[in-house]
Amino acid sequence: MSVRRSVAITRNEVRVLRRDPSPLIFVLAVPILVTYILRDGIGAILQVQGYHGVSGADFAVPAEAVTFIFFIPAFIGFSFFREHGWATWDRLRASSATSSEILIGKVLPMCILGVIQLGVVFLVGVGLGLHVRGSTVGVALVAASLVLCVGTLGLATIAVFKTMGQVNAFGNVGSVALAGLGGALMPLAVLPGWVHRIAPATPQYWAMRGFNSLILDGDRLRAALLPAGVLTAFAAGFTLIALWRLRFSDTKRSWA
Amino acid sequence: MSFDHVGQAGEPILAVSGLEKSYGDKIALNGIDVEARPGQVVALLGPNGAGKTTFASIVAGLVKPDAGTVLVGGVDALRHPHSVRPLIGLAPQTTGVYEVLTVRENLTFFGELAGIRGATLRQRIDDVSASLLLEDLSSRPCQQLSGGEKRRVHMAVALMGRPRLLLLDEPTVGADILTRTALLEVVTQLAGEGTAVVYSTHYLPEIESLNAFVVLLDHGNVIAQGPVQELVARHGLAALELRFDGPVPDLSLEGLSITRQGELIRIVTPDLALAAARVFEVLGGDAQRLRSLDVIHPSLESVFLALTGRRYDPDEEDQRVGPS
Repeated sequence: MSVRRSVAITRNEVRVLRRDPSPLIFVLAVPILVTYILRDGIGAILQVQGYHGVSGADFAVPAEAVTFIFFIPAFIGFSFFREHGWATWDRLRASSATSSEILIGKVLPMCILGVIQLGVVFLVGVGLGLHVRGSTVGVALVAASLVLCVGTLGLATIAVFKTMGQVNAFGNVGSVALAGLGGALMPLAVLPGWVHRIAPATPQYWAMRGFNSLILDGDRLRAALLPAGVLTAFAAGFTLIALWRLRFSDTKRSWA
Repeated sequence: MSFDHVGQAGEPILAVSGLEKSYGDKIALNGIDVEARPGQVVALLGPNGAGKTTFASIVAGLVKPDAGTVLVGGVDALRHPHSVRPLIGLAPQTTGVYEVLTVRENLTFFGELAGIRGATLRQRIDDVSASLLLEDLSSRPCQQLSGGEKRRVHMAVALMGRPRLLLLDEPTVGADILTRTALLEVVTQLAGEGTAVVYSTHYLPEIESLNAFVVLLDHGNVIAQGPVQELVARHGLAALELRFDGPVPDLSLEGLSITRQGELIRIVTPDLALAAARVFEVLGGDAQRLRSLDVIHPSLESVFLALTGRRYDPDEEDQRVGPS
């Protein structure tokens, strides 16, 4: 295993990202914009729910960060599928890089993007009124397990889907639907009962449960352990799917 | 040490034995043996579907064979693919470059993957760019290049690791004359420096110009192999082909080998002029129905004809199940 080769692949991914920085803009700017738009409305909902002295940003910042970070698995999918479109996939496979070096090299920059996204959205969120009442270490723990979950979901995405269209549909429609079901678009309390029952099946629910406990309820680090643990379990499940289904020799169809 | 293209120097860098591969019920390779030595250009020649791409893909570790052995630099490439990859440079049939990156960024990336860094990498990029006429294009994104220019970048990528075994799968497909000339010159130069080149193509004239060791493939079988001149001398008879409107006339020419296929008569002969004169002598009124007269000189094309009974048609198999 050569770290240098993985770094070379990561650097190449960054070069490609620099040519088309739209994913970066999308996951950084849009959640901040949506938070800005929604925070007063969300603040009113929180008041009705019995939260006093909190800002709408206390819910909207983590909610939008969670919603938009789940677009990253699709970006991971795109980064693999475009190799097929450019016919560079076989060149990469025939190079000295091993399968794990290729996976790490390509997934790592997207995980770093996830960390940057959470960091930037939360930092800007402070300016919009976000106040973490509980453990900041807990927030970091939930954030770290969330990034792990997102990265491995990206691996499962490239393992399961065959076409760029499928990745695109899952990445756009799927992530918004799961965000809604997981209580990242609106507080679960205002959603119908059937949503409450299926919400725990989504990683978004556990991320929001962790952030809400730590930010809104002011809980200590202990409150982060279960959500972080479940997110890590999701990550393990996605990794198993990837190990089971991912074949480097599979043909994938890009847009081309 | 200098090498001729037919090449005899040293132990084989590539030794393939009993290679078999099928896609469903279509046999792509049917137990073929091929060797390539330092400085040798081994030309895999055959129409589409002959098994050339499958062969290159197996040697490069992209496709697993059903049976057979592949040794690269004496190492079992099927068991230890990562050990042999530093020895191999591959330019697949389809042009593969990062479209949004510049020529230099493409070369940098594949150079880094080959383990080259710093000043050595910069020098290698300069050398490879110079040999493939890419110097003035280095800062241009590949998506702004012409097909031929992109093809040269594609080839340059394969050279970045300075491989001992270069696999070129149809390198001149879609290439303009400038690109084709540059590619053939680079292949000649690399062979002269000791690189073993496996060059798959369905263009016969390229092989003749490279003076390569030819492996003639047909439907996954090696039907002949040897240096171009030797194959032509051994199998490459001259022939006349006459095509008629309607049924072929019943020509009887003593001492000439005549075959009939539908509207076609083929006369294999060492003396084309004499045979033509005799044919026109006996054609009589049938001469008015003569639609075409083709002269086939001794060449790789006539070798293929002699060994398969078919005229060489590079595109004869377009319906493929897997890589060909």
